Amino acid sequence: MRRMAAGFMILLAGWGLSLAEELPVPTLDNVFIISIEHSVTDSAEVEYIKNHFDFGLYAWLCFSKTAFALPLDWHASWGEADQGIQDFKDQVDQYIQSARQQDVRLHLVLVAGLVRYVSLYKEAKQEDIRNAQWYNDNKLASDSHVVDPELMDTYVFATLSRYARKMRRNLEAKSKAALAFLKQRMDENPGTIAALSGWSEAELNYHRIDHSQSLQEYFCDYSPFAVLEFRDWIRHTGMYDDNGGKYAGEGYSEGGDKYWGASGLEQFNQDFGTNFTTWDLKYFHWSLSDDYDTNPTDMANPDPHRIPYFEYMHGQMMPDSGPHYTGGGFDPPREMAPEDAFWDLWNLFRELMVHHFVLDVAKWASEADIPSGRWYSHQIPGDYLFGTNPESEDKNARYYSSASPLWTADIEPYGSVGATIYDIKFPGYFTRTTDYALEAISGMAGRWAAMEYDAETYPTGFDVSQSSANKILLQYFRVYKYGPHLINFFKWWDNGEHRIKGMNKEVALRRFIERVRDWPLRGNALQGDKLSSVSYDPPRVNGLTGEHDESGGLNRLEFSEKIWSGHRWEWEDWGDFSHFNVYRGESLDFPDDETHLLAETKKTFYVDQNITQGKVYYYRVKAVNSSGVSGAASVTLRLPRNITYTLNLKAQTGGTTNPSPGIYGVDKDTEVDIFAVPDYQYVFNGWSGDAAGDENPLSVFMNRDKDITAKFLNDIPSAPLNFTGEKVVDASVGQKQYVNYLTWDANPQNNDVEKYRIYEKVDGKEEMLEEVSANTFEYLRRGVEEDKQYIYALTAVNIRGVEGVRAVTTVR
Amino acid sequence: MKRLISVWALAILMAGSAWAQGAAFEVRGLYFWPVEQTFQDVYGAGVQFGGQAFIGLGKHWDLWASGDFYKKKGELTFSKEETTVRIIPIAAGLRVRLPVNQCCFYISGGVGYFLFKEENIIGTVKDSKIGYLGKAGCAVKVLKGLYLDAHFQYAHCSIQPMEDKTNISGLSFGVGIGFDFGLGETEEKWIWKEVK
Repeated sequence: MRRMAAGFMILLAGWGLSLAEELPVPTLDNVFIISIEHSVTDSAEVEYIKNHFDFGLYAWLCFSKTAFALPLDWHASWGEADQGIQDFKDQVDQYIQSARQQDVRLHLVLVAGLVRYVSLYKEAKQEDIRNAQWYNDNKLASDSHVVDPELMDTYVFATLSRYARKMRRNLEAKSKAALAFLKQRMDENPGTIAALSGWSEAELNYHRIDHSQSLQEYFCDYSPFAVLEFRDWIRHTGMYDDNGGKYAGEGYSEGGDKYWGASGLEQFNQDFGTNFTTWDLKYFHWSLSDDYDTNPTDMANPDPHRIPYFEYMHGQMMPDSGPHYTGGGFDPPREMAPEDAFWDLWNLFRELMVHHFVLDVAKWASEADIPSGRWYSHQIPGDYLFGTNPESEDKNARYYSSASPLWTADIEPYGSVGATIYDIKFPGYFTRTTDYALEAISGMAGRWAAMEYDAETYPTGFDVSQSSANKILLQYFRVYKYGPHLINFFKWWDNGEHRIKGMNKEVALRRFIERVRDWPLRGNALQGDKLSSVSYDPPRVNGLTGEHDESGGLNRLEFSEKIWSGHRWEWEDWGDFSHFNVYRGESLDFPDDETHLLAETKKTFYVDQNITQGKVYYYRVKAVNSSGVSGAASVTLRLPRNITYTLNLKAQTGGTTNPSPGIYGVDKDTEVDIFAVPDYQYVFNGWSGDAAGDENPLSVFMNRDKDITAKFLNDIPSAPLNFTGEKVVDASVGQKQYVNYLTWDANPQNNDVEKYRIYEKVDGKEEMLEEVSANTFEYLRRGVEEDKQYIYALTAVNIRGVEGVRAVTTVR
Repeated sequence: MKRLISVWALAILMAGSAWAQGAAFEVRGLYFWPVEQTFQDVYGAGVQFGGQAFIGLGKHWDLWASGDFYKKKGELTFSKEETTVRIIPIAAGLRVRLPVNQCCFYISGGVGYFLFKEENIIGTVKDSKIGYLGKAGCAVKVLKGLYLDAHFQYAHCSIQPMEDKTNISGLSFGVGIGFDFGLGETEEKWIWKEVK
């Protein structure tokens, strides 16, 4: 126990930073969101959590709902999807109402119904089984599952192919309607919806994993929709046509017109060791010119190649003759053979199908103006599950079947990466997804989220005892150390598998929150901990006012309970707050030093009874933190008052002033200090009205009525535009090198860019390559490998050193 | 290096056996057009300098040896960053002459040892390989043993400094000025009379 405590202290000391800056205003961008998986409509439990956990300024209580299914009837009009998702809207409204009533926030997880809640697309799969994922033997399910009455509701996933056009139209219509609705609700209820994530755990079907067989025995997706998309992706035809295709520019980087026609097929056979004689599909060939049924409401699907479920013959879907068979036809590899060129190409496409599914909804969210900082992906990282990693000899079976490596969760710049990360405790040992996933995911982006996190899941059927609260606490800190913006603690109540309430996890969570509540997050670096010996400087006390009580022979002072004017946070919410120092002097410019210290108080008022009648006194107040550091002094208050002039203070969006915006009566010929206080990611942009310049604080001499406005500017540079890259060869006579050539354009919204930063993400880790000047719009990354995929991020950095939103591009 | 020594040894050996037949030395400049597309793209055509020596073997035959130096700056194919190439071909072979009045037309062929070095941002590479050369030209006597020479030369050599083979072959047009230390017309006639 002692050893563990020592380790704990070392861990905390390592995080302690020597900070000497003012406590920033908490916003959704710099707080740590503790999102507990439980229904916010359960007011008794919400109240319990609020009363038993000491949430502070920078640890915000949030409730996750995993997940909201998004149903739109299969025969509903796509143009009227807004009406078709009324149930979803009602449910969300109920959650928002509950959250607002209880003053908590929400994290809503969206499910499409293709690979989770799969009954949503039951009718789609029955109408045309090409809407389902097909295994490599063209079966929809295992021999035992296929006879299960719950087959379509449980075991058959819908295809993630973009070529399942009718299903995609339904998906896109309901998604866009839901996202527009969510955006509207976010605007109407600022701050209530702290995060959205989706689609929840997109992956290919894993239901046929059988640990008694080779792990990669059965895998998806061989739906004719997926296979035709694979073919067109290679050749840049159909929807991947670079001239006008819906997904122009997204085709296989080494493919294209060189694979067109008979000679192209010959070339493909040479390049990939195949022997196709036609680009038509070997099984169930179809064409994009087929009528895919653009009117879902008429209950008639005219698609000539539709395969209704009643025509499905289990085990007989790989004919060797007849109308559904093309000899020598195109077909993906049916056996896993890593490092075989054709298999690797197919596997890359399988992963891309998953990635596109995740990316497409993130784009739709962005089109709906949902801020990228509120949208997360929510992937199940097949390559990091339960202590494995992409380099492991023994990979998890889902690594093979699901085609959902962590990189499929990368949705920048439309949102941030989120992944389900949970550990399992078996009798005597753990399997921890956190072993490698934390480092990988935190290396992908500055902002990330751990979804469905559980430090120790107790699997049903095993007799597993809980770890001590301190051991669990250390696990919580392990995750926190990697700087997540949100942890979805899974979950408050269940049959015991994940349960927090009443378990050591509850004690650990309480201690965890006590320690992180006073520390703002920045990027992915933890800034400190309550137990370390340093803390932030207190902000300036605002709202100092008072009156002279002549009859009582005393002066009454009071000041604001709020730390920042215009924000809800009170001094007592800040764990590092100690007390206020009240200073008194007999001239306007008296020094606020020890000799003028009148009192220390924790209250936001003070009564000075030790005064001489008829004498003028001046007062100031400072807040002091637990380290004894005091903040800036408040305005100086003269008592008795001698109000002559009016000071009308205003603040534009993006900040406030201290004293707070408002109308003040000010004593004649006194000087008032006004502070401009920008919100997080805004900067002060000068004064207007009866003041000019950008002096901060501003000293205003009150010799007349004055009207002063503080101006603020969003300080986050927008993402550079058209960030793209291509792999090219740079050569001389005797030498040759592959080079990734990155180009971009300036974003006209940014007018004070000082430089650009270029990052490379390899194997999930992000590393800054170089900073280039603001008038540079290209970068050469030398020495890259011919066959390797690279992901680059680009940010603009303004003259104040603030780094902006990332633009991301992939070079294959 | 071994190969370089053998080529020089051959030239010296042949020269030693032929002193009695006369000799010539020439300095020359060549304009070199590479045949390989990448070479053309990166460096284009350029000037090369060198010299050659001839040892007579009889009325129409010579042994010859040459050494040239070619250095040029160019641009990488994509990034257009600077690159420098240096090629030193050292060659020897046989020449056959056909004198017509004051002119002497000739063709010659031989083997060469090509030293290649290239420096740029990608790195520095060196390689050396054996290739072959062919020449055809005309020398015109201008005064005593002094003569002017003009010729076309084709040199072929493949190198492989890294994984990929490339060739540094090319066609050159050269002009030179030389001095023939061989017998004068009177001595020549006397010798041939004695021989007959």
